[in-house]
Amino acid sequence: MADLLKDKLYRKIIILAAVLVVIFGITVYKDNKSLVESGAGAALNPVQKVIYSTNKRMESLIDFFLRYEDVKQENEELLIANIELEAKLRSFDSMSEENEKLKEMFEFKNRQDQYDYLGTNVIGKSGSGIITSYIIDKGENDGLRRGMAVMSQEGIVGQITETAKTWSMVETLSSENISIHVTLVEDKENSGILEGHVGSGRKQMAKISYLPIDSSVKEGDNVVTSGLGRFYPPDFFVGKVVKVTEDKGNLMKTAIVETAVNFDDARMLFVIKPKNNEDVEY
Amino acid sequence: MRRIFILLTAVLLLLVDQTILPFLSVYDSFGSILFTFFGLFAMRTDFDDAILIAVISGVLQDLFFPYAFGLNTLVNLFLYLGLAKIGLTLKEGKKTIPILFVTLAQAVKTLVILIILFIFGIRGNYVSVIVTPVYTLILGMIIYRFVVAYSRIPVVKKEWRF
Repeated sequence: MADLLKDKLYRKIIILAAVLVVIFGITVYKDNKSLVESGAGAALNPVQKVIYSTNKRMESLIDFFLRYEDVKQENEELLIANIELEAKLRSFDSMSEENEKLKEMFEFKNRQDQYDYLGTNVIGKSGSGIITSYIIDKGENDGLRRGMAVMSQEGIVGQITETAKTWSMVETLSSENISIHVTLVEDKENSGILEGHVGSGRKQMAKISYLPIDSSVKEGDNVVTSGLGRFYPPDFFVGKVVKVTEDKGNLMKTAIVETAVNFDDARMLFVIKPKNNEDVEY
Repeated sequence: MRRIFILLTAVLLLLVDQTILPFLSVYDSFGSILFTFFGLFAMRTDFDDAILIAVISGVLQDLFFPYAFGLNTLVNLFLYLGLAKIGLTLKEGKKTIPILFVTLAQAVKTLVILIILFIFGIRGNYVSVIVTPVYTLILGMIIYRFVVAYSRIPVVKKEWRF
């Protein structure tokens, strides 16, 4: 060992390895990036944004030509759906007006209004393919914190796992490293923690574990956020139950959920930011 | 000058890694052109250079790596030193062996990172153990000649001091 330390090369390697182990140990449980990482990241962010968005546009264009027939059919279906929805919207408007008046009468506070929705762009994908993590162009300077949910118009897509000053990292609902509290539209008694599900192939899947054995959860049920912890509002669409498995030994059920939004396909993203952080239980 | 040139090359490759390769991902996983390029380069250089490129490429990868800093640099350090050691025994002009060893190095790297993260309660993409080496193999075949050309650029080429 003493001979090894005398050799300049070995000494260099040992010192470097020791320093790296210490840095790893310090940073592994930290929620936010250091000043150096923040700054270096910020310097690269504008270039990343340009290249990533150019590629995204190119991918959409190629996808459009490859799926031209499908897009055409989808367009026709959407036109019909639009007419039906417009009719529904008219009746909804009158109901909404009536609802507002009733709310005023009871001084009921709308939970959805207690949150800000901050628009953001994906500017890169990191994790070297080992961990699937996306880089977004908003960070601590915009008030973002670890655990905040990221959504698109269709529903919740993921959660912030780490923040730097001007950028953050997001993982999708199909990641095992994040969890959100959810409930079922069909029966609000069924609630639990939604986590990523491994072995799902290309589709983004998640699961709700430890549901009681007598729970009424079934295939096709709609999963929405519960709003527990006040981190994000209730009733945001998460996905649909595609399979229910029973574990009779532990007297529990597990529901496999297909998430509503595929992160790769999501165009505009929003971070859900509670207006009053003091209310939030982290 | 030499170090700055290598650093700029690494930054450029990192940008490709994060903005272009994700669009060519397989099961949400993809290889790293940064690791492959400098892995092949490590096989054509000495130990001091291997340490330099391991630190440069590792730190850049770690900047955007979720949860922990230092893991990529640490793993790159030992793998590139190993590759440099193997490189010394190889004859100039052999293409297949360097590519195969870099592929193997990528497989080891993915596995080691997944295991270390698992110990700390962080779950990764397990399919990447298979995808990243295959990706590296293909990338290696495409970029090998560029690495050879790169190592012959006057700025990069190391002058031997006797």
